[in-house]
Amino acid sequence: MGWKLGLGSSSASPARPHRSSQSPNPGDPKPPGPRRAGSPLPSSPAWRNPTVPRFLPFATHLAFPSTNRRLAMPGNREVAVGGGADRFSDLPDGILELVLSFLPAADAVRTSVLSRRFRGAWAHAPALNFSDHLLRDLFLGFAREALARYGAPDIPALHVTIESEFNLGPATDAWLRDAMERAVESVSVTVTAPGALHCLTLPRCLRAMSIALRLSGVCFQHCPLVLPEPDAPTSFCGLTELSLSRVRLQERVRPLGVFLSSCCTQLRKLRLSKVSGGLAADGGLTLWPLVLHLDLLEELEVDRVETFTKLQVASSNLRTLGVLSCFESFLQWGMDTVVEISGPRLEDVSWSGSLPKHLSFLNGSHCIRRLSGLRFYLPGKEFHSASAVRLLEMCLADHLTVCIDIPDSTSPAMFFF
Amino acid sequence: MASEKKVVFLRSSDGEAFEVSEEVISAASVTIKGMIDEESPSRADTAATTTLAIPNVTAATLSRVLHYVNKHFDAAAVVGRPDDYIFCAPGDEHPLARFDDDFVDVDNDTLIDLVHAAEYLHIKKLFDLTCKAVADKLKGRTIDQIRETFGIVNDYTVEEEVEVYRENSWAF
Repeated sequence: MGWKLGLGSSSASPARPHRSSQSPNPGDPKPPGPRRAGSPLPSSPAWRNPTVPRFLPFATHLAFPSTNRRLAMPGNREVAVGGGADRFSDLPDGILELVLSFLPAADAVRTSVLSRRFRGAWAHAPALNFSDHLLRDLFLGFAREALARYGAPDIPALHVTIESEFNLGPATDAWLRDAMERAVESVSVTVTAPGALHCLTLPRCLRAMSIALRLSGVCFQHCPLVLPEPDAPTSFCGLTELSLSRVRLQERVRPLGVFLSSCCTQLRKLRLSKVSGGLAADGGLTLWPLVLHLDLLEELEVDRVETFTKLQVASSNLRTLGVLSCFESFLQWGMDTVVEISGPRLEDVSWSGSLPKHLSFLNGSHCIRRLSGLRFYLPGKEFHSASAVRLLEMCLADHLTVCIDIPDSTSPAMFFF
Repeated sequence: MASEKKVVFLRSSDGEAFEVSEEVISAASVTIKGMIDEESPSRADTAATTTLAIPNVTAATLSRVLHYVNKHFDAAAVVGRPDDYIFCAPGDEHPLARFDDDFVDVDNDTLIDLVHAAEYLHIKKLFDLTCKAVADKLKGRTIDQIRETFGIVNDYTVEEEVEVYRENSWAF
């Protein structure tokens, strides 16, 4: 035990090519297999940004002692010493790359120095996870370089987390736009820094199927989100899931509902949380209508969107609707707020908080089988329960599952239906 | 009611047979579902139970895999809550999160065995869980710590090592 042939591939799945075993000569000192050849080098890719600085002189890192070195044996064959069998390196390419896709991008890149097997492997990982958690002011330089050196023009999944206020400037917006354009499966951007991104303009063409953007942390003024202007072709045709959170729309350019209904026709799930209209001339928030004609839409959740004047949805596939605390803001007092749902298959409604002035289910509400989020209050505060009662009265199905919240401030009580 | 729930037997590479509900294992493993579908015409009219050979997985690993499968794919055992995100409060933990954490809290060899088994049996959730657990063993560690954890041999020549550090200097 403890001795192992240098570049064996005995445990590799037969269905997947093993990178090591593709190497023409196992003893060859130039390790990258054909797929990898040249990919980690900053040579030619057109998407590479040539203006990236290098941060630290490499020599500082050579202080790492190189233990566990493999000894070259006569006959051009190498034998490992120490440590027992390295079953991690023996994993097939696809699995090794999947493992790296769960690491923060900086950790994934650093594995390149472990051994030849790992050199440039990160550049084929099916996901890149960027976070400025430890990098702080080095983040953007790192992020640009990583995108430039990734092994293909398309990145399956891209996840970005911004924790530091330092990285909320326009340079991050520009990098994000480039990065998002290369993602083909999913994109998530999460700002947890106290503040908001400067301003994000969506690119004209995004190929990702799922996009989740939370562009501000806890702060008063959320990040402006600029939708592509209507005068040039826009393509978001693969998009099936969209979540927008803590953004301020620039409604004067193009209303969100019009943009989604015309450019994102494949949308199945839509979630809006703390999305507001643009700023009014007096600095306050403008109220805005959301009108959606998306026939494939199955799930819609609007959460604390406190500036609606109107929510109108038409979809023959809508099954789930959640409206959470959207009609409680003082801005909406006295307004003729409207919710109009045309969804003949709507089964599941989750509603919390007040109702708008006018609420209607144009196809009737007999399909609704589940109603949740309703709040009832004890005697003395019955008037708070009015919207729950009205919703119950509207649902005419033979069987209805009802989930009721009893707010903490009231003492325990039993309700029977 | 002595239910007619069908069971199949899975025989590990070292010859041990494990009983599992056909419905549960079909829902979990694409590979075994394929095997069962292939077998089914020939056993439609016999009462004999099927035994499937799983040549790539040892008994120790297979019993762990089946423990996971029974927790995650047996509809009767799964704690009832709709998967639908709309009904999950943001801070809610998935009821099986702790089980999963304990499940992958094992030594490297066992974990890599599970990765291979999950891949061979095509159990996507388990495959992702185990690959993520391997990644967690790398997270935040120095290069030397990672080499030591997995017994990775540094096979770079000194010149190559200088070059590879230079090539990746932007990430350090």
